[in-house]
Order: sequence, then C-alpha cells, then structure tokens
Amino acid sequence: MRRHRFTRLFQILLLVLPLLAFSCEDTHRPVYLSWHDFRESFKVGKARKMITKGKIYATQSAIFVSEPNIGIHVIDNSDPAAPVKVCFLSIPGNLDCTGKDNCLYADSFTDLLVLDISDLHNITLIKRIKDVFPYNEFQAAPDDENFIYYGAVDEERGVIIGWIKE
Amino acid sequence: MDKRVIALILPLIAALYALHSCSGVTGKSGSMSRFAVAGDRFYAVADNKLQVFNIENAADPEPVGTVDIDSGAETLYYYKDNTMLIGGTDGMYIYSLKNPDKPEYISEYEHLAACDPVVADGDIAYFTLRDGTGCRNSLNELNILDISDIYKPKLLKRYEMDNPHGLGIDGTLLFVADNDSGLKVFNIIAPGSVELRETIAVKGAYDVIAFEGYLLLVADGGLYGYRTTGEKLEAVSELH
Repeated sequence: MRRHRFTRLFQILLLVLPLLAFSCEDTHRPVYLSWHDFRESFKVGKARKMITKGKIYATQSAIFVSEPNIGIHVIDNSDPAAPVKVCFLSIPGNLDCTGKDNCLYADSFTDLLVLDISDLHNITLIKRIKDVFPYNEFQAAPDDENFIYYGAVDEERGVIIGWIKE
Repeated sequence: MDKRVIALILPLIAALYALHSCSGVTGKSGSMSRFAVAGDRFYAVADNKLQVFNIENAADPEPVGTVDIDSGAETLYYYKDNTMLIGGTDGMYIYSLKNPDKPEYISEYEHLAACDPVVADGDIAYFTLRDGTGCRNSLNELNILDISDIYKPKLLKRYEMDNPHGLGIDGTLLFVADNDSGLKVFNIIAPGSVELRETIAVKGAYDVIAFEGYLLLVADGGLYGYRTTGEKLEAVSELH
C-alpha cells in the first residue's frame, strides 16, 4: 500500500516537473533597493535619452517628463522652437509630477518629494514626505500579461525597483 | 478712438492680463496625471484613495487626509468652480472642492468600461475609453458629456477611436493621443460635436498638454512640440 502511494507520487512528480521547468522560463526575480538607500536615492544627473514615454508637466518655460519608475527629464522650454534637455532627476518609482510656484511635487514609490525648480540648472530636494502613498510591489513590473515571479516578495529587503527575467 | 491706437493697446492689455492671470497658475499637467493642484491644495489619487495636501506654503505640503473613491481612480482634472473630475476604471466622477480638505462626491457618469483621462471646457467634458492592461472590456472611444448640470452629467456623443490615451483642448481644437494611430486633431464644431481635421502620423501617441497656440505631445521616442495656430499643425520641436 505504502509503495503504491509512493509510485503514485512519483508519477505526479514526473507529470508536474516538466510543467514547472516550462513555466520557469518566464519567471522574474525582484531587484531590491534597501529602504535606507531608497531614501537617499534622489540625484541630479546628466540629461539622458528618453526611453519609455511617461507623464508630463509643463510650466511657462520648463517641461518635466517622467521616465516611468526611474526619474524625470528636465527640459528648458523658454524657446519652444528649441527645447533643451538640462538634466535628469533620478527618482526611483516616479510616475507623476506637478507643481506650484517654484516647487515640483514628484512621487517616488511611497514617498512624495518636493523639489525647488526655480533654477533648472540647480534643482534641489527640499522635502521628502515618507509613506504617503500605498506601496505597490509590482509597480516596476513589466507590462506583460505573462509576467510571473517566484519566491515571496520581501518588503523588509526594500523597494522593488525592477524585475530581472530569469 | 483711432483704430491704430486700439490695435496697439489691445495686445498690451491682453499681455498684461496674461501675465497677471499666470501669477497664480504655475503650470499644466497632461491629462493622464494622477496629480492635480487646485488653489492651495495638492490632490493625488492612488488605488481607491484621493489624498489631500495643504500647499499654502508650496515648499512644505502638509498631508491633510484621504477620501475614499468608489472605483479605481486613474486621473485627476481640476475643472472650475471648485469642481474636480476624476477618471476612474468604471466611470467619470465629479467631486466638489467646496471644502478643499474634504472633496465630496457630486455625481458620476458610469461607463463600466475602461480607463479614461478627462478634460473639460465650458460645460463640456471630453474623455477617452480604451482597452489594455488593467482596463476592462474592449471599448476604444472618445466620449463627450454635457456637464452643465454637475449633478446629472449627460452623454452627448461617442466617437470610435483605436486606442486613445491623453487628450487636450485649446479653443475650438481638441487633440487626442490615439496611440499608434497618431495624434488626432479635431475641430469642435458645436457643443458636443467634433470633426476630424487632421491626423499626425506618430507611433505610440500617449499624452498631450494643450496651451494657447502650442501643443506638447509625448509619444514613442520622445517629446514633440507643435504650433497650432495655423490651418495645419506645424512641428516646431522634437526631443529624444
């Protein structure tokens, strides 16, 4: 009886294993950024190429274009016939931005950042309001119906800033 | 008065007025935005919640509270007279900002369909429905609503689109970013009625910001600027 059960289990395993191997081809592994590093992650860098289209906010002379989940392209548009990319703001988890007066409000996963944009060449972070937005661990997941991941998502390890295809 | 004097003075007055009216308004968001600024408040939608921040001191937003929204809210659009339009996954919602710290539900236009950014001008609201990840059903349309009675938004017309995303209005022009079908430019010929004027061939048209005589478009590959004062759109800039 016991042996019979064992062979049954073996048969099931034989059936299931190839399926597991097959589905593994499309699995993704999360890339974590520790909460500490995340909170230190705002950085002004060199202008870069626009890769993925994102949301926009424009003032009288400047345009801000989100590179979804990565940051914001800053553009000087004082001459609309010749806009110039000034810099790129590294803001993990950014999707939206808007503003008032000389301040830009940008989301960064769970946090809201307030940036001083009075001088496009010297944008500074003036405030970070932590944990005002709900955390969605799949925010940076690829827009793919067949997206699969394995292992448990561990919030203790940090925010998930991307997913690597295995 | 001498006609020439009037011709000189009028633009001057207009310029002064423009300068003045801009002092309180600092910028414009695309229609896909989940953020909106209305006076001294900053609003953000995330999941089924509308978050309110007091920004009397712009540099120091103060979280005031949250308001639950029935369905998945996707976009925010500050309309007028303390009214905000919220595009959701199954309807367009009208909220009152009379108490700016506690936006209050007024009414909705239910479409039970898809994702929708919304913009409005006068008594007319325009929004798009599209299918795609996270959106229900497969409707791809531009819908036009009469919102003169904010308690009873009324559907005026529906137009077939391919996969419309953001949209914007400038006077009698309506712009719709229709994904791979390009940027569609419509003449608003009567309240609630539009007519296709031209289509700008561009891949992945995503969102627009319409200014007076000037349009910004985000599409595959970057950011595009157009002058919109002529009979046809004139491309003036391109950034990648």
